[in-house]
Parts: sequence; structure tokens; C-alpha cells
Amino acid sequence: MMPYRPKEILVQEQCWQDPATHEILEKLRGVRIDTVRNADLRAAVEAGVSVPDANSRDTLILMRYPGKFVKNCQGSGAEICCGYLIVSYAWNCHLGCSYCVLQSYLSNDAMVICTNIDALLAEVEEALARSTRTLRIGTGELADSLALDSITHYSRRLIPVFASHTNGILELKTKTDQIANLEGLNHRGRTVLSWSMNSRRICDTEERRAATFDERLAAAVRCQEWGYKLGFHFDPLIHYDGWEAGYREAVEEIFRTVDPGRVAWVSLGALRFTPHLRELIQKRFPESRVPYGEFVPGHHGKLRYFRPIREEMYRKMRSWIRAAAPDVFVYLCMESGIVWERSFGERPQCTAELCQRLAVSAQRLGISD
Amino acid sequence: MWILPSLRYASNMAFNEIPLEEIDFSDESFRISEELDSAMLADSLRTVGQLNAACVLQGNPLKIIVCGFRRLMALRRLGSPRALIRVLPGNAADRTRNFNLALWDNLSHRQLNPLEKARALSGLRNLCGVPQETLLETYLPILGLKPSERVLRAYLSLNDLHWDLRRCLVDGRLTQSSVEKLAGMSQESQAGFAVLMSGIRLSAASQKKILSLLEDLAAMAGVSLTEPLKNPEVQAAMNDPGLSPFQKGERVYELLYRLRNPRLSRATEQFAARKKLLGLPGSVQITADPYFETAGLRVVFDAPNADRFRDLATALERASRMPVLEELFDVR
Repeated sequence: MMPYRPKEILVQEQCWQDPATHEILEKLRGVRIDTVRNADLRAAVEAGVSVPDANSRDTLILMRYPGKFVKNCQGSGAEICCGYLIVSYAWNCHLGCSYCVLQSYLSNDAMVICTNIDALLAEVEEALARSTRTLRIGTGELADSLALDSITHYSRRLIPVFASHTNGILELKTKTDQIANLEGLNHRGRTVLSWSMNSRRICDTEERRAATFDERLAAAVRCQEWGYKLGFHFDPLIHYDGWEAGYREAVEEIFRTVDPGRVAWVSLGALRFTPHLRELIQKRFPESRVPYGEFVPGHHGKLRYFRPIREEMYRKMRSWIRAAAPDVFVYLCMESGIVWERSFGERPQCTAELCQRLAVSAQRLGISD
Repeated sequence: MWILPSLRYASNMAFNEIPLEEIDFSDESFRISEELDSAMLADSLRTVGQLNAACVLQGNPLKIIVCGFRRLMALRRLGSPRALIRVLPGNAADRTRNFNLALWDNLSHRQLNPLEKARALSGLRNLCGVPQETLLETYLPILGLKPSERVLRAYLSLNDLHWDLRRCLVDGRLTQSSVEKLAGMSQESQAGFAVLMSGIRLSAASQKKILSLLEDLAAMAGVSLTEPLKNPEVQAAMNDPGLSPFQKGERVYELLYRLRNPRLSRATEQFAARKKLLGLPGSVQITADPYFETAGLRVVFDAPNADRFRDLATALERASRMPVLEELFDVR
């Protein structure tokens, strides 16, 4: 896949003091650069008011993030949640997947990279030092973890931080094959490289600018060779005519290609979106069939597949994964106890129990102590 | 001193009785009225004659109607050879002035309906070349509309509406909001929906829901909006002589909902059937989450006295031993 290259860059004036700004701009030589006043940029980004000419992914904004970097994942409101923490140094994504929640979640269309990466790293260090439990921290919530890595090289700074702690697991979640920076790092097994996967048909039709199914899998194999543990996220699972054959083939191909013994976890989550996002998808991707499943309103007003449809998908996915990789830990993202029970025949009693199960799985693979 | 603007034309004003054959009835450039066939107006003309002159421009060779389309057409239908007419000074090229005369002539004595407002805005934009800004700032308020681009877009879209849908809107069978939605669709879809509306009646909320279901079903199958209406069950409901137009509307909605949500509909029907098998008295209400997102059931009963309470508790106890109770919790 083609790495991201903006048509213009807006630099918040105080970012000129950050070394990261100069490193990023060095990689984007030839792109037009404008400096924007601090107040103008922050107000615009926070209020969702567009900065002049900053209304598309072609614009890259370099800014300092003034708030806390480490936060609870938005799934923390669900009945059973995996206790994930997120740390965001970039917002938005140029991959343009039809169902992407960022379309309605973010107020600005421009790509944003935070240049105060030192502050972020310090905050992560502090969180790890303070915590008495193993923290799973991911960067792929508001942006793809690796889509901008060829520009930022931030992975090369984050991975060593986690390597130096015994109670932290970094998860880099991606739909790309931008893994060049990961080679040769002393990660000490504490970074999990995860791929958001889907059936070939969905990869081809709904995730058109992401790496192909084969490219993602090839990247996973390379990372496995470099000693990283792997994760796979089938999220969103999409219900379409032929989904069973499509997803079964995807599962079998993944576990035929990678070593199941080095897979830390697989998560499953069925498509969910707000009614507003559904309208956006219909408007922006008129050829997409994604908005036409049998949805019902659920948690927080989000639309989800009718529960028995989700349960059927999870049950079958788990059985295919079990058949291909009996020991791999499989969990559900943002689902209720009843869905766990009916899909898997058992359930964690609470968020703490799921966190514990994930920690045990990580320990078994030597990812954490 | 304020001067009545029409006085500006007074010196050239000429009222004449002109033969109707000198009028070009096919030129509707300045037409605002949606309805040209007015029985009331015909009665008035038949009884007391023409009270107000129509206004025309001297065209080449026939005269062009600016104000009074309905009057002149009614006179023609009544067989009158001539009409009282004011020939306006100037020529057809001064379109904005002429269109304003037509517009104000109508606004002076009645409210325009949405289609007439659409016609007026479209004429001002396309015939007169009035810029969008002026339409927004001047003409939308004149027409009693909010001066927003969305409103202007919505009204302009009405102007190309299929004739049968125009009738539905004028007759009040479709809301303006439904018609605006349909305006963006093909003429075939508009005509098909008008056919549906000729046989059924729908509340405003039901119109919205049925349109949304049709849009989804059409998109899912990659067919036109009205193709799902060809479903045999839907056709049977639409042609059922035993149902009133409102009942037909409800039935069509139910059938489309079932087509759009087959599993949920099946589960809902199954739940109702199983509940019935419990044989509980009507005063015991058992309800599930409307979309079965949670597995729990809610049981409510109303007992006015202890005896009734005991009766209901016994009925519930009996139901609790029936195998079908387990199935009530098992939605698939």
C-alpha cells in the first residue's frame, strides 16, 4: 500500500520547538508548510471548526496535545470490557474504510499528529510505574497505529519504553503493512503487533485503501520473524451473504500462515455504529452494503446486528478459530454477559475477570511477568 | 413622500377587451398557480362576470400572460370570446419585473402552496436569473420561508416533481417532507410511490417509516424504490377490498418491516405465539426487550383483591411448569 503523504502541512507555531516537528517535516520535503497561531488551531480543532483549507485528509496538522494522553478505551462502558487503555498521538486515518467510526467521531477531517511525543512517553512511563497490574495499552483507537509511522517513527520510541517495564504490554493495531521501523528493535516481547482483519471480500470492498488481506498477513509473518507476538482483531465482523465461507477462509488462512503459538489474542466484535454514521456511510459509500444489515438500537443508541445474528457469528468464528488454533485466547469486544454465554457457552463474570484472563494469556506467551 | 409603485405604470396603463385568441395560453413563463381549474372562479365569472383584469405582455404575435392564468382559462372554458385585459408596458425581456408582478398578484390575496412557492423560486432563478443570495435574502422571506440554503434546495427540488406526486401533496396525502425526499429519486420511483398512495393512507410518521424501509430494501436488492412493492403479499394487502385505506397502509408497513427485518420479525412472532401457549389470563402482561437485546422478561399483573391475586399467582405457577417457558427466554 501507498504510505501517507499530505498535500499541505499546518504547523502550530509552538510545535517548531519540538524536535519531532523537524523530524516529521524532514520526511515530507516538498510539501507546502504553513504556520498557524496556537489559539487559532486549538480552537478550531477542539470546536470542530475547520481551519481554512484543512478539511481533508490531504492536510496534515502538527500540533501539541494539551490534555492527558493515556485514557480508558471507550469500551469501558460495556458490561464486560477488556480493560484496555488507549494512548493517542495521532487522530484520523487516511485509509478511508467505509464503516470507520472516525468519520462521525472526529470533528475535523484533517490528519493530526501530536509533536509533544516526549510528554506522551513520560505519561506512559508514569502510568506503568504507578500501576500494580499489567496494563494493556494500545495506540490504534483514534488512528491506525502504523499508518503514519513512516513519517513519525514514533514506534521506535514507544516500543523501548514498554521493553523497559515488566507490567506493560503495548499493542500496535493496524490495517497496513508499514512495519519497516519495527525491525531490529529490542522489544523484549512486550509489544504485540495486531492486525485488524476481515474476510477477503470485506477487505477488498470496504477497506479499499488499507493493505490487502495478503499484505497484512505477510507483514504479520515478518513481525513474527522479528520476535513480536501477534494479535488479530476481527472487528467489525460484517454480516453479508456468504460471510461464513469468507470468514472461515480468513481464519484458516491466518492460522495456516502464522504460528498460532505466537498469537496473543483474537478479538471479535460485530459491526456497530450510530444512526448518524450509518447515514454518512450511505452518503459517502453508496455502493457499500454495510448499512443494510438487520440492525437494532442498542447500548448508547448504537445500531448493532440483532442479537441472535451476533451470537451466531461469534459462535461460528470461535469454533473456526478453535479448530485452527485451539489454544489461542478469543474474546469479545463490547458485548454483554448474555452474548458471551450464548456465543461461547461461558462468560467472564466481570471486566476484572476478562482482564485477568488476558493477563494469563499474555504470561503464557511470555509477554508479561 | 411614498408613492404607490403601480402609479409608475399608470400613464401607460391600458385596459382593453381583447379576444382570447390573441392570447398564447401555452406560454406559462409567469405562471405561479398550481391549480388552473378553479370551480369557484368559474362560478364567480359565470355569475358576476370578470371583476379584475388579467395582465399580459405584447408578445410576437400572441400576448403572454403575466397575471390571471386561472381567470383567462376559466373564461375560455366558459366559452367567452374576450376578456378584460391590461396590456403591460415594456416587453417580455424584463423578466424579473414581470415575474414580480405575477408573484405579488398572487401573494396579494392568498397563501401559496409549497408547489407554487417552488414554481416561483424556480422561475426567479431559471427564468429571471435572480442570484441565489437574493433568493435567500429577499424571496424566501416574502414567501414566508426561512432564509436558508437547505430550505431553498428543498423547494427547488419540488419543482421537478412527478405530476402524480404533486397531486398527492396538494391533496394532503403526502407530507412535504415525504415529497422532498421523493423529489431526489427517479421519475419512475416517484410515479410508483404515487400509485401506492392512491390506494392507501398513511400518517406523516408512517410515510417516513415506509419510505425508509423502501429505500433500504431497494438498496439491499439493487432495485428501484418501488420494486419491493411488487412483493405478492404487499400486492395482496394493497388490493384487499376488506381493508380500509388506513388498514392497508398499516398492513403494507408491517409487511415491508418484515421483509427488512426478517429475523427480528420472526422472533417477535415466535415470542407472541409462545406467550400465548402459557395460557395466562389477559391481566398478566409478559414483555421482553423490544429488540431482545437482553434476555430478561418483565411480568406485570394487576390484582384488585386477594382472591384475584391468588388466581393470578396460581396461573403463573402453572405456567412456570410448562416447557414452553424456557423457549420464551431462548430467542434465536
